[in-house]
Amino acid sequence: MMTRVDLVGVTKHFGSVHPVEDFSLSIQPGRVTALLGPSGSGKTTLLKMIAGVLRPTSGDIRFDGESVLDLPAPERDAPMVFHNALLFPHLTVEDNVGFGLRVRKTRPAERSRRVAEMLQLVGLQDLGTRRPKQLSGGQQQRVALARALVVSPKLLLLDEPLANLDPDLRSEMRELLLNVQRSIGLTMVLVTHDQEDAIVIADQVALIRDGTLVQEGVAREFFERPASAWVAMFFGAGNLIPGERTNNEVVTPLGRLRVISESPAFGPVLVTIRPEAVVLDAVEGQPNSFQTRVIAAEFRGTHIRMQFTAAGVDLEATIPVDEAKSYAVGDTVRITLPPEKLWSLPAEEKRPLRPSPRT
Amino acid sequence: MTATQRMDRVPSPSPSPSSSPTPSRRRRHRERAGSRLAAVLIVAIIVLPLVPLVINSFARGYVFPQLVPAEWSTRAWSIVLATDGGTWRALGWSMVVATTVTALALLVALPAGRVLGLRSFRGKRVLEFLVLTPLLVPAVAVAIGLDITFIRLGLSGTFWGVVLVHLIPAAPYAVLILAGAFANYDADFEAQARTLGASPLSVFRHVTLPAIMPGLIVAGFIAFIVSWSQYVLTLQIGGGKVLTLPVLLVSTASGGDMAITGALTIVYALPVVVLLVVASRHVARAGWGMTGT
Repeated sequence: MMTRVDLVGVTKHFGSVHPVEDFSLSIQPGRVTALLGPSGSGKTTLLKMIAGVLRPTSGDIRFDGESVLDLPAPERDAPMVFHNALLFPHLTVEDNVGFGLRVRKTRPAERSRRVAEMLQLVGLQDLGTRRPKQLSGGQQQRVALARALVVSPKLLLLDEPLANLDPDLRSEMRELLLNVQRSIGLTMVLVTHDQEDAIVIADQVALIRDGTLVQEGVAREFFERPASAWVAMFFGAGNLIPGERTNNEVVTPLGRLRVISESPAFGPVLVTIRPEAVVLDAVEGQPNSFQTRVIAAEFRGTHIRMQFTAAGVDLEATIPVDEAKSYAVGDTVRITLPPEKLWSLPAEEKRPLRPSPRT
Repeated sequence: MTATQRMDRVPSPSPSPSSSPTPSRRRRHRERAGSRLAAVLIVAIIVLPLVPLVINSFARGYVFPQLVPAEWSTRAWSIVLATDGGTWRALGWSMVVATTVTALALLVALPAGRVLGLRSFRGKRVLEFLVLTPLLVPAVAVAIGLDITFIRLGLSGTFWGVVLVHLIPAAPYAVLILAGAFANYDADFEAQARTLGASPLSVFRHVTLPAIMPGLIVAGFIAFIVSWSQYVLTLQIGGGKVLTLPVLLVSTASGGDMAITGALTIVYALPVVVLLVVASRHVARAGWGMTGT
């Protein structure tokens, strides 16, 4: 089943705490949408409001165009999978998975058939008689997923389903979620603080900060066209060059830099470029090229992370391992910031620019 | 260095059953012996005081310095257990009163304990203290004043009057025990059940109740005992019309017949011992809490 979800000006206040403020988003049917943000940004509160566990202070939530505000959680068909799985400890794995069917008074024969089907789907068909305590964290998470899917939901809500898993279990669970999504094709909303999870799993990403929507779109746009310096930082862009933009040129301490014409900001701006887009050993006379001094070269396994300085501006680049041999700290290198990769941002107010993406 | 570390991570073959007891197994052995000793001690503390009573109840002319009675008799037991005697009626009163008090105490304690255990709010400490106050003030002090009110309300000398007055000491215990049970409970389990389609009643039956069952059993047991052992309050409010076992027991004891008093005390103590055994079994079996991580 594919349900479209619209959040319209959703606000939640707990006394003087305002975890969600005027949040609007259209969640596309049959796709995976990630609500991405640092911890404490209000994303789980949003998820709970979609599930019907919390009621918004104001605003509206619509499933396929119809308001569900007065629909209690049990009737929304939008099961939530919590980050700590929350398997009922007094029930076996089978009974946990069958819980939603039992409270719907599904016939026992039908129930056990569907439970077996779901356990098969998550690859735990042999563990049906176990107790939750006898399972590993990854297995518990799978059972929780099966328990949510068994009721043929309209919508699946996942709250940090990968947060408590080891790295190899994470990728396994990611694969499982993607497979489930592909085979069932239901609408999924995923809450995560990990940009990598969001990028890998989600078709649509909504970045949240302090309970408000900062930017929404496909993952790539966050890298190439961040809406603000904060977004750029959250997605690991280290290069922020202050300047003054007129037309497609920005006057910076490094000289005049040409930027992408669709860049949104004019006047006082920050110019940004992905570290992997910086080109080294440029020929003199190329646009956007200048001399820099190497201040760091760190081996990172799959790449080398270089840091440069020029005219009081620090720049960052990542380059393939085999190219790196020739650079040492103190070397002078001519680098180019290709105009088609340069994006300008509004020079933000001096808010703390340090989001805490856990990477 | 790294090689040995890696070696350590290789799963070692499981020890063969014939191998000699490992230190950890010996420790487990010692722990089991320790808990067995504790169990024996607890049983002794509960059961040993009953032994002289049993001897007394079968004795005829049992006086100091005899270690055992010179003569044995079932006279006392035939009087106490006589079908037309007051024992059965008193047992009936006690059972009905204590059961009703337990049910009502739990009914009050479930919502109250939930709020105290799960929520944090301004004045919570004060509220917890207020819940405790009935246990701090001597019951007699309250009972005399209360009796006047109860006479006016027509509750004096009635079953419900006694039940109400028993709730004064019984309910606070139940509330505090259930508050403890709820404090270790993760209410997200209920949110989880609701999103899976469970109605409020289903959530309570399939999620909340199993999770707090151990606390509920203990709270119920304590409420029952508190009511079962009330003498002063029952006498004050019941006015001799609600003749529970303690009331009968005290009047019998003042009669001075040690044999009959002994037999009656056993009738009084036995149900509680049986209940204790049953309750502790259930608590042990229900020993999984729904605590969050």
